Amino acid sequence: MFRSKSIWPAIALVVGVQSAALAWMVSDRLSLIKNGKEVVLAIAPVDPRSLFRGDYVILNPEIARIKTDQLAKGIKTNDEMFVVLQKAPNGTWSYISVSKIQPRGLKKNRIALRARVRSVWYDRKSEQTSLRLRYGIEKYFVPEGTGKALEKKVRERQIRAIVAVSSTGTAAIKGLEISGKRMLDPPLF
Amino acid sequence: MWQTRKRMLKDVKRWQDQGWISDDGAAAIARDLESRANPFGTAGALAILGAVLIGFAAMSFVAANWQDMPRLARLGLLFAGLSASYGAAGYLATRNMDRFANAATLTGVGMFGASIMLIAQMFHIEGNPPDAVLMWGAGALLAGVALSSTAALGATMPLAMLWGGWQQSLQDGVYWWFLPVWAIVTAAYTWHRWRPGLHLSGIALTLFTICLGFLSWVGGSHVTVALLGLGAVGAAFLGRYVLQKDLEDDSIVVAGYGMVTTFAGLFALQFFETTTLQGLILLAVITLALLLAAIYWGVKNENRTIAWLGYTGFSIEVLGLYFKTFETLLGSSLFFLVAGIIVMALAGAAYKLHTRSDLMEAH
Repeated sequence: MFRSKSIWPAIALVVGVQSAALAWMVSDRLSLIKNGKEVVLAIAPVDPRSLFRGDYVILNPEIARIKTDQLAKGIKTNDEMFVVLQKAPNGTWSYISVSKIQPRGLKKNRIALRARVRSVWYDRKSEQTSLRLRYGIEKYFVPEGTGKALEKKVRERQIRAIVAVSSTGTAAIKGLEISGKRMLDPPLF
Repeated sequence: MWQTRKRMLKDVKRWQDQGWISDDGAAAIARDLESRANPFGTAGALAILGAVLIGFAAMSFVAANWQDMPRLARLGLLFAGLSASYGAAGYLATRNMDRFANAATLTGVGMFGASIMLIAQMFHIEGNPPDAVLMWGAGALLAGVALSSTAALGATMPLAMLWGGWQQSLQDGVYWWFLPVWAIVTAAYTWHRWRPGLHLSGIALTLFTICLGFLSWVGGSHVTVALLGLGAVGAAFLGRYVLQKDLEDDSIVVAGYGMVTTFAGLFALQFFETTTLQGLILLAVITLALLLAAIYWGVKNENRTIAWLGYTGFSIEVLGLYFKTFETLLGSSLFFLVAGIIVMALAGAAYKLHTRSDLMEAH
């Protein structure tokens, strides 16, 4: 196995690089949650399948399904898209427009979220494109035994997701709003 | 491997009893065989299994007690687990317990993967899920190369395959990025001269090529797959008979994977695509002829790999034809009768050739 007798520098290299990668994962996410712009997203129930998958609940933001007539054909599965949201008076952010490049100079009450195309459907009659998108915020991990209660709240439309969005449009879950009450994840320190 | 050694020892005993080799010679041969015993012995195998079990135990313990821990303590636990595994690997390596060191390295690789998943869980990171597998694979490759650990190297290609397959399932076109990653992992296997790893590379590339045929909506076709397979067999023969630079063993490996690829392409063309009866018969004849040629070559050159691949392919092909033509029983029985007669005739011809060459040698 080990060619050299001085194995410790190699061990230090492996532990160092792997730990650094994990630390980067954590710090990247913490900085996004701390510095990102906060938006609140409405969560739609996805029937009939069970939302609760052992240790996480599937979050299906209402903006996961959008329709547009602005896009040319030729959008493929897994393409990157930017979805522009606008803040409504009730605090929820809803869909305004979608584009393939990141829009710049948006108004203060608007923000662009980075998404990937899950599926695409072009309707010839209405000349509209229907998109199913994923934002990377579709899983909410919960303590064991609490998933069912949360699932019920999702079905009753009592859940909104509190999300931080970076300047590049990447979204991260900060916490949930359950029946109007903010439940943020505890800070690391 | 150990079966071969056992059989050889039996042969040596028999030759010794016949008086063909001396007692000293037999003892020397037995010693030589023992000294070349499988480097991956029982102890090593058990250590690896133990490492996998410890990894799972750690993960389920952490999952069960996770919620009661502050988040900083959770991160501390992950980093401690990672350092402890690789630390144990280093300690075992300095005490020349390489197999156990290898197992501890594999535990470290497992810990790295578990840490990625647990951090993702802690911060609800879904992101692009295959990215996590790619990160895990990169960690495994680093551990494999830096510590010359075959266990970590061995974990790398399956992780690369999982990543590539997952990416492929998320998009429409062929996920070509798998190929450069495959090449990097294969380069690491070549650099470490780790032969089982090259088989992993062979399996990965074969599966990738076969999958190309099923991605018909982006222009993939089973004909291309079959031709690529034949190309590999051709390259193997070119290496073996034209270049002849100690390529015998390698050429057999390449030819074997080429055969599997060709057969998969031809099989899919016959049984998954709608073909006319004439088309099916033509393809079946081509497939059976190629398989018979492979069996003939394997038997003639005493190469069991090629011969057995040929026999296996032949059996699968015949079963496939049987089920495909099940509805027209008369047609299928006629086909098998004709095929049987042709194969018997070929067997007869081969036997005659064989006896004739024996006679010529006798003269």
